[in-house]
Amino acid sequence: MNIKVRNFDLELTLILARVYKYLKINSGISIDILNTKFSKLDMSFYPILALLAAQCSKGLSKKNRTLAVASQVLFLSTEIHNQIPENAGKNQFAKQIQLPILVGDLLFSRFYEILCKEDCIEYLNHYLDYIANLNHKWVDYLEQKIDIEELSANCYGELASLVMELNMNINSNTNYWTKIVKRYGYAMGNLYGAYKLNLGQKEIIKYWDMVLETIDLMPGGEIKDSFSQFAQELYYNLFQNLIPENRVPLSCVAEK
Amino acid sequence: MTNVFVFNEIKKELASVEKFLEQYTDFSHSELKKSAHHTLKAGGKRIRPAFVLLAGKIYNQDKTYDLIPLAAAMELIHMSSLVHDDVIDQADIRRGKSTVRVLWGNKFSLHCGDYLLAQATKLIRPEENKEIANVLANMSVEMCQGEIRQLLSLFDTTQTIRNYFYRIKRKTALLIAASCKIGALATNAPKEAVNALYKYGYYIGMAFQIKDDCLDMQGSSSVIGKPAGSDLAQGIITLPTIFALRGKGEESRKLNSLIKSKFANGKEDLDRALDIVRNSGGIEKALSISNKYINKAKKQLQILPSGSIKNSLEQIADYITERDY
Repeated sequence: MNIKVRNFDLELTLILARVYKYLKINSGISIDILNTKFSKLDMSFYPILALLAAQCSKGLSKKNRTLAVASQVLFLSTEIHNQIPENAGKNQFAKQIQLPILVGDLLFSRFYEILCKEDCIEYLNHYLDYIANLNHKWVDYLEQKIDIEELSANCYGELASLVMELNMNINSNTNYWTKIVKRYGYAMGNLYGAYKLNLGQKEIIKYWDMVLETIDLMPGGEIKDSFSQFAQELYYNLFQNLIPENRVPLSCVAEK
Repeated sequence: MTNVFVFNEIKKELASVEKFLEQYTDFSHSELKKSAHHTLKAGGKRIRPAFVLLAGKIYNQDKTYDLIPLAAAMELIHMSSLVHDDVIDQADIRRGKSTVRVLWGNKFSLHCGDYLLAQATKLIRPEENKEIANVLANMSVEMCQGEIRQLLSLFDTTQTIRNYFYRIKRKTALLIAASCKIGALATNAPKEAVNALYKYGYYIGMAFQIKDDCLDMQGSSSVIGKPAGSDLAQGIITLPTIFALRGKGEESRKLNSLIKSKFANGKEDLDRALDIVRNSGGIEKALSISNKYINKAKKQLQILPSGSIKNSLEQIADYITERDY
């Protein structure tokens, strides 16, 4: 699955090159020693959101690029930890539990290092709040206090919302714009989460409607078009077999 | 708390760190709170907070209460790594108590460790303490790389002394070095002193880990708090074993084959391997290297102003040589 957004190809390639640089360890690429495989979408979903948010104002700055890289490294770190099972299969302890714990920890450190080295430390606390909340919710989920849908929202939705908010705030956007874009991110993150965790159609429709609402609130123009295009591509690529007939195609919304 | 590092100079502050940790880990989530308190109450030497406090106190006696959150952060970072380590090592007991993974499970431990690390990092107030945040970021990356290297090299009998030093530097020495540096940075110590204290911590850490690895070979479970030879049983090749493997005789070859077979006959094989290491002179050689690091650590203290803190730092160095648990 290769989801593209107009004009982002070059920037996305550069960002991913930097992400891969931070994934390197002495024996190669850290995530390659795991059983977990990451798709093109997994590697680019959050950077694309960062790029979308950045274009809402003065354009892409160095800090936007750094946050895109850091967010992706953080996402990989949490995703690796999230996928670790309670127990491993026979002779699989190293592959399924030990290495993923260590690689996840390494990527968290890398994320922290990126923010420190690239003068973005002022954003760290926002991410730390997200991480603390995510792990809090994970424990709630393990204790069956919350369902998988809520966990997905706290994991994928909140990160997407945060990535968009921080990238908007770099260029001091208005509250109104930030709120719309944050909500778009939250809804998109939840759609991505619904796909990752195989959630039901109800969730997909709920968050797709939220995406449509937020796009509807955006003023017309190139920016709105790129938000629409990404949403549309994601939706049709992920859920093409699930889309009910009565759902409004996004292209119509963009034209409105 | 069994704490040999309680010197009069920082006794009050260490007690404050303890109280601070207890309050800070009073999390709203009851199980996260219980597990954090369980780990805290299991004790530990509180080496890292002690180094933050001692290093910080050398140049600024009045600012020590500002050091308490930093000292607590270092202990929390250490705690979070222990919670993960226990899952990785499948450890049932730590410091004589059941581990978090035994009481709450592997998944819980994983998320508990991540939660603690996030809370510890916040405690540093990275935006206001950029240099300290930087030290910690570098240290964390190196520590994780060391852990990965250790895991990938389990039961690898071709490891060199250099490989071993790479691992223990990242496993232990860097966190102690960072603790010293953070204390010094937080109290605006002169640059030369910051560097000297960092190196002191590094050498102390190296010596401490080598000594620990020797004790693992020598001790009994009641004294060292874990079964003797538990590192070797997990395939962790430490300095005494590397020395024993380097021999040319039959015993070295036997040791090599026992490790490569992952102790196929269980305890019998492990005991045989431990005997070979103990009789090879490897422990003594390792201890002499540990002592060399201690001397290097002490040399770093020469540029520091004389006084009770400097004496305490010297005593810590001596204690590492003498300790038997």
